Amino acid sequence: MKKQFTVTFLPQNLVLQVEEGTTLLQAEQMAGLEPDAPCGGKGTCGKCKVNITEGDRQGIALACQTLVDCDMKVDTLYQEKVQRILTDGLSRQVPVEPGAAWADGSTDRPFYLMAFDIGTTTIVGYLLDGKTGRELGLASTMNPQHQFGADVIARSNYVLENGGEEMQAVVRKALNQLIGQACASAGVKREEILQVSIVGNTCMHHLFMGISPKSLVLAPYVPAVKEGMILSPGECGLNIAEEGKVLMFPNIAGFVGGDTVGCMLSVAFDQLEDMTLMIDIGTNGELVMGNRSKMVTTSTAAGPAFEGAKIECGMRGARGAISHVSMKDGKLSLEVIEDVKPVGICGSGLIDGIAFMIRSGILDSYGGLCDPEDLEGEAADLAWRLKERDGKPVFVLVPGEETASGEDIYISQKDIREVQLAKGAIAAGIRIMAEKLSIRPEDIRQVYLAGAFGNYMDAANACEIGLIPYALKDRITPIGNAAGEGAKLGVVNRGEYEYACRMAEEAEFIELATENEFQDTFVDELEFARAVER
Amino acid sequence: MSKIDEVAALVEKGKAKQIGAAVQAALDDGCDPVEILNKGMIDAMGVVGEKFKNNEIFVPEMLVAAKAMKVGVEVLKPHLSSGSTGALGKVIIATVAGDLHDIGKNLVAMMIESAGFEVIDLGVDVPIDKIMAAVNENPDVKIVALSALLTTTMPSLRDSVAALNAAPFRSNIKVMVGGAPITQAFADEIGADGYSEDAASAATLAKTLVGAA
Repeated sequence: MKKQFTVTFLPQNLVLQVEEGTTLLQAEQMAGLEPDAPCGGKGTCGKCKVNITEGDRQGIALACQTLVDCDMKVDTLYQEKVQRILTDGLSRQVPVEPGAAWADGSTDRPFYLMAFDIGTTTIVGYLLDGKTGRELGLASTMNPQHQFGADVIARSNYVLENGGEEMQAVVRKALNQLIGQACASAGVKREEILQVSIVGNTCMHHLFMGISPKSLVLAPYVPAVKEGMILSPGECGLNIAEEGKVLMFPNIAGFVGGDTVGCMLSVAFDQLEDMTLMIDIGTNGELVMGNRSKMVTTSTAAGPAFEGAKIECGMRGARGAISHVSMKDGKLSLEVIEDVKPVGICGSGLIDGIAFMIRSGILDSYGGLCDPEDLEGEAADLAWRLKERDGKPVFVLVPGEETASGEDIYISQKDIREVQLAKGAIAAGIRIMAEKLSIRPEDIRQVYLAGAFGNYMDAANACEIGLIPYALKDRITPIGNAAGEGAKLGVVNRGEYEYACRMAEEAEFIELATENEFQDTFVDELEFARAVER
Repeated sequence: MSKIDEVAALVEKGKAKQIGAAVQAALDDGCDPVEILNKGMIDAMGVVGEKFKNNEIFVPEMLVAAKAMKVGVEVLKPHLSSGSTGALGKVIIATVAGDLHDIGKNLVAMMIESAGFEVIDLGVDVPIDKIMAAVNENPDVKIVALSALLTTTMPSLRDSVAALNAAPFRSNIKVMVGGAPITQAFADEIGADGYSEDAASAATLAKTLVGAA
């Protein structure tokens, strides 16, 4: 039998017995903590650092790489993560006809509905009055599956290796907690919730349902289940009214899921007259293009650059993130979330920063940073910002003396390359979709930007860097959390849910990886067309 | 700058729009087409690959350089006699079944071709039997190079290599593998002859495997 040791986690003061050879990360998970381990415990991301205060080896260590081999006291360095979670969207008005049990108005009993948007990073739940459809409150949390990997590939991998039970259990627990929170703050009982709707990307859908994500990560990347499903709360492990219903939104493809269907429902996409492009940018960029005569969808591997990952000074859109960069009175001006000393740069700040560099001639069309001495006129004042770090060129946004850590916050040449890959993938996706519809990108009459990132990013700058065709720069409308809005429409009106299911079937999916022109188009779109040629 | 150096500079910078005219100018100037290919393009791609290996440049620059070379080669092709390329032998390259990623594989194909091999590209999501059939159809093939980009398709790479290892032609070929999640240790474990980390090293490895380096 293996030896047992006692591990104490501070500051939570959780004590547990673990077998010799367990990693500290596993121990944290067993203790019910939700440590950050976006790489899935491979020892590569450095996010699971802990401080061992008692034990044979003391000091800072990676929890995933540290095996328990003695009694230990460990400071988890756990910080409450303050994140801005987007909860508002444009709303379309629909009649309140949830189609749930005792929801036909025949009794006086009050009843409630809840709509969930399960994102890879965050989960948001909206509590609605079942009779009026009015929103009574919302609750949100980080997706606890984060501890098993940051992105859908890492999580799928974890499930393929370890089974999906834990992954399913933590998300169901999170939903039940959100139901509890929302009900408590609105003063209603969870047994009075008669219907729940859920949107999420295809992987979140599968993990919630306990369906293997295997088919999502192997070509041709198709969902195991596409169709919408109406289930009992018991089948989903949700504690609401026993006779209630859970409406799972349908999926379109492996990387175009119920969240995209929710976005489509929120704007009634297949009834639009004007040629429309809808973009939801996260780790993948989901795109829908068309109007009432035809709709195509696709997903591009935008990569996590716009979420701050893989960017040297990158971070999510949280406190201390540089969220906007602009030129004011001839000077570079920054906006920092919550107006504190800057900590890093988030996606919207990154787009602005690159647009700024394009406008001031610092960046050429191939994405190269210029030499400081090449800057002329007004731009010469920016020359000091071009530095070398470890022999590589960088553009300094904030010098060390003004940052939280004392280190410069900068955009490196490598960061710019990451942005080129991300924006190139999305821009190429847009071009290929337009070709499928036999239109030119400039024929698009309106662009809807869904999701948090679309809401915070500066649309003109997104066009400056070529993420969105420049010709469309005056036709862009952010539509907020459209996926969540779709989930609300579906839970309030059963007909809307059914309509969403039909729309998901109508939309034609384009797999970019099998499109012959994709690579050529992608390489073309790596360029910054608005930057100087050098 | 000689006309050939101009071609080389355009390949290195990835200027696909200008390269066609530069190659034509070099030809009009009386430059030897083979020299334009070798000095103007293949050597330039070698420089690009080397810089990539040293982290001086990144994937986007590699991609635009590869595209510029492709455009340049199209202009050059009618002027090249057959046999001036592919002298080192045939390489079959593919992304394994279940994996649709081809950008890395295409870069490797480009670099191997630049190094003097004839490349037969089977594309992406290639089932084992298609790889086997390609080897049987090309009995003179020297190397089979296989790519897997996702951790989830590593088992597929393992199966493909196992099938090759069990084949009667195995002693006539070398097997090399690569892709983001692949390591030397994994390559050894599944019985491949070689692994390389990036496209430039892949070209060097291919030459070593056929005894040309």
